[in-house]
Amino acid sequence: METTRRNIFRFAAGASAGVFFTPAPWKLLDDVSVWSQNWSWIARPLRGEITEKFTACTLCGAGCGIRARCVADQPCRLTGLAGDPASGRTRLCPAGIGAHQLPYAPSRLRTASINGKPATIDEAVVEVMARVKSANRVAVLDGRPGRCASDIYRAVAASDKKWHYVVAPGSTGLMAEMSRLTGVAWGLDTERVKTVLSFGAPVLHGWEMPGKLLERRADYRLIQVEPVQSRTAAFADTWLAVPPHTEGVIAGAIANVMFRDGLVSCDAAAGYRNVVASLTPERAAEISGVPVARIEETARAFASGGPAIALGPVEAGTLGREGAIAVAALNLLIGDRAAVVARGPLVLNAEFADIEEGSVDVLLIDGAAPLPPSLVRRKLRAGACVVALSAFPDEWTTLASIVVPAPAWMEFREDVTGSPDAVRNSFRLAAALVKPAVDRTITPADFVARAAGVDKTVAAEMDARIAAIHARRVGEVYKAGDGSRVELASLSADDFKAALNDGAVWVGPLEKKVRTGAVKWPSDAATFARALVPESTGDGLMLAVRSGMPPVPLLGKLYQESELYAAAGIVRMNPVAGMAEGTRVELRNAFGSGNASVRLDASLPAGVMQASNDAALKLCGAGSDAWRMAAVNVRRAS
Amino acid sequence: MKHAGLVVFAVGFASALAAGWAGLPRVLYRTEAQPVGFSHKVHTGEKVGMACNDCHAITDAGHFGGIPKIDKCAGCHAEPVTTSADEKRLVERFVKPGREVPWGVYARQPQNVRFSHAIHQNLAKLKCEQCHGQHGTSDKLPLVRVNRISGYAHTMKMSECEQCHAEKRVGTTCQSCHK
Amino acid sequence: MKPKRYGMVIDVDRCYGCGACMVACAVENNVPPPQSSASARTGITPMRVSEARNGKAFPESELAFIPMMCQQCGEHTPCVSVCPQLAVDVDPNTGIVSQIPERCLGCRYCMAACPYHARYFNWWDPQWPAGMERTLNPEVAPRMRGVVEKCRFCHGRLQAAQSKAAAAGHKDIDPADYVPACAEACPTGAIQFGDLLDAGSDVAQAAKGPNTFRLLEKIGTDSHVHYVSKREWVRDMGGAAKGVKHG
Repeated sequence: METTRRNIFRFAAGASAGVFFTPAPWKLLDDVSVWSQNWSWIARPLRGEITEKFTACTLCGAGCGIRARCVADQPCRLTGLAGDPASGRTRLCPAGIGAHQLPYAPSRLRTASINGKPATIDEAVVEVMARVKSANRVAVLDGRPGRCASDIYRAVAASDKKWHYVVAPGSTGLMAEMSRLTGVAWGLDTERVKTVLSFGAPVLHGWEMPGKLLERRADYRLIQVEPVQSRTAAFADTWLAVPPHTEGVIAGAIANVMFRDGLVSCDAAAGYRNVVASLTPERAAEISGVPVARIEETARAFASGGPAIALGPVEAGTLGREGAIAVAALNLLIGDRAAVVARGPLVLNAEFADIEEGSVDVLLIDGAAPLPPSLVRRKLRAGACVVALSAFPDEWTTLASIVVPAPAWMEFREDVTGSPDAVRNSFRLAAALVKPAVDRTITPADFVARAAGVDKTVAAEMDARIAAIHARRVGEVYKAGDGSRVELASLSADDFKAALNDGAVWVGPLEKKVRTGAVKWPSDAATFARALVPESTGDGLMLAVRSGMPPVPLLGKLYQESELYAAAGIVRMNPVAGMAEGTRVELRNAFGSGNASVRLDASLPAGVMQASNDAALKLCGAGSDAWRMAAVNVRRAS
Repeated sequence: MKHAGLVVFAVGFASALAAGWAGLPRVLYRTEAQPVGFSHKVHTGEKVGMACNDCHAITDAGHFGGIPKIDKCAGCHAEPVTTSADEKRLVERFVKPGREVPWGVYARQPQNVRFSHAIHQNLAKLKCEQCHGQHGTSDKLPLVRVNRISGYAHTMKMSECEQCHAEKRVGTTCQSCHK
Repeated sequence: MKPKRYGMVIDVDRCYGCGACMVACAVENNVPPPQSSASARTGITPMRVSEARNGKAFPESELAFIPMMCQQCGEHTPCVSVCPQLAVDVDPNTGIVSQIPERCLGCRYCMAACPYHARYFNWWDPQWPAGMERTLNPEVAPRMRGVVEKCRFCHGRLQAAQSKAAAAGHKDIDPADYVPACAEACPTGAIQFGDLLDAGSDVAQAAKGPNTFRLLEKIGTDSHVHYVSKREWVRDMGGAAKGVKHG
């Protein structure tokens, strides 16, 4: 046979015919299709045993207990602990549900930095020590007081006069102002409350505290006093719409009505009568535009609505100090009908606002909601140094000259002492469930101890605290898996420690009645009343929408891939402002300027704007600690 | 030569048949030996008398344990109990250092397939042999033949499952078996 | 075994728009965090909560939040009827509408057909930052670029419940073992889930309530997701058919 072209074609034809009598074409097609359905670059879930572990969330002060469903020891699903007596919530918030992905968030800080240049942690320690040496005053700002880490900060402050320990605004809970007035720590009795009079508190927002009020919505009447129709205002039983920063005036007027109509049932309140004498409902109506009848009706509802509570926002941010006092005072006026429980004597920590202006040389920050830069700078001396201790970049790390990477939640064992508003003390451990995803990090408290030359570690403090709790032999221990309860006194020290490591929570007893002493009412009625009334200039008042949400990656579903939450860079205003939807505008005031895109929102009152956090926060910081709000001018951006 | 063309055609035809039936399987699969010469016969035979689910058990939550971990082997083989060279290899290379044996898996399905051993064993009352053949009484583990294109080994194809499902009239929708 | 008809009753008056359900859904179904260029139009949110207004100005404005997911249409299921690949089917035993990514060729005809805009397209391959891929749920297979996905009532949890029941020798699942991620996550209990054909169940009772409605009732999709609201404007907006008996 010759190898001619024709023969080659014949051979090929024979082969083509023959191949269809073999499995080859179908097998190859099938294998290629399987290959195409299983691309190697698509991630695959882990294979392994499915187990359950327990820890607690430390992303906010609520300290919710967490059940982690693990695959091959890797947490893959987080849920709350139903029936847990100490958790802020028994069903987790959106941040908590996605928190198991936090250690792997790409935005994590991987290295320390000094003045923007990468450095090692040891170098950062040396640098801070040098700055501290030449400083007159060093302040440590604690975003979550009450932890064992906080004990270290307090020990550092006790060891050296130049170190000062201050707690962050908003870290002391909703009852903080009431506690300050009376010298007693108060807890919020969410079980008994039947009427909630909230002055801008995020009761139904779905984040942070007060979590139990969200879950028990059907059990109480909610009156929300707020300038804008927030989620809470929209779903309250009554929304009292007031101009921004007049909430304090309304609270004062409500107190005035209560005194006038004999609705005050507490003797200790007598000293407040004169303070609010000038804040008549008529005066309040003049200032705020809220009709007298509504103010009186609210006062009556509060005074007679069963166990009641008056709440301000978690931070004094929109109300200012005087406004917060006016709200807290209402709880004292109704005496035993206030849905509060005394927890014990108040441990007062100095607050950020208490720092003398221009006095701080070095400010170290461990986890606090961001404050306007202008407010922070007021406390710092020229040339001062800010040290941010954080796992993620945030407003503080942009303000800081030294940044130190902290481990993320779930990478290290920490302690959770429960919400400052709880009625009973509690203690649980947030177990470390994953290996650190970033090589070199340091717990903030350990860093501060090193920089201050104090020989303490968080781990040792936790052991000491656990031993101290056990030694007192009071309270109960609730196991995490089945919620079973035992008396602490029936457990040995080792068993108690083991139970805590397995996710149990210790809950202290309800304190016996604590005598409240004299109330520290404001001394000058005129100054107080004046401070409650807002000044406003400019085109309107802008409210900075609180972010401070932890950078949980899946939260992007809520604001980037849907419009459930406003994305950054948006300012909402009423259509009467005359701007078209989508116009780029510049918001400007004495503190600076920022650009945003206009969204029209007819539910906003005229003259009030709502702006998303970053740019907006820069513009806030006017006097009286009212830092969530600023008067701004609005112009079309060029 | 008369009909020379036909002969060439026939030769082509025959070559294709040979390539398709004998050549392709050889080329298409990559063969791997198991890391340890485990004998099911020894373990399930009269002398030891283990049952399939002594090592391949279903948990209360309904998960199938798959191939046992090294802890299971260590339960009996912390030290060699025979003179077998394979066992010695197991003990020295894996049990003592606590290393998992990297077994080749024959039946692994793609990610999107959901197969529940609990349902097939307890509700369909299938015996292990019905899908796994004489594997449980075999003396030697077969070589693992991995398909170079798809990456899977001796995986059961969907058509084999479909046949039984259609006969028994169960799980006839896509979501019965897909995740 | 009696066929089931899984459905939901969502109390719109108790949804405060926190978004816990959206995050829980993404965790359960292996939906990755957003790509930097993803938007409300191109993102994947099998559960999506949308804000609705009554259209009035301050201070009469009212707000509602509507959790939206695949409504699991029972009758003339639009997506099933248009799919050229048979990548979607309705399971007669559970009433759940499936979605099989391996058959999907990405024509997106089903996305056009779905009256509820409840289907989402994978514009990108799902990507997780290094280490985060370890947090995937093994009960749900990740998809790939070019296919459509949607809510399947956490079908992986149903399959897990079936295996668990089978391990104990039972054919019927324990209802407590099958709760979709959104219902489990909702802090106010606004999302109720269960078998609509189980006359005694809370869900079946709630579905027959006077203020219960289904979205776009008049187009006759016989969806298995019901909504409840005491507010008339919410019911009107949802296209509640007036005077129609529920059952």
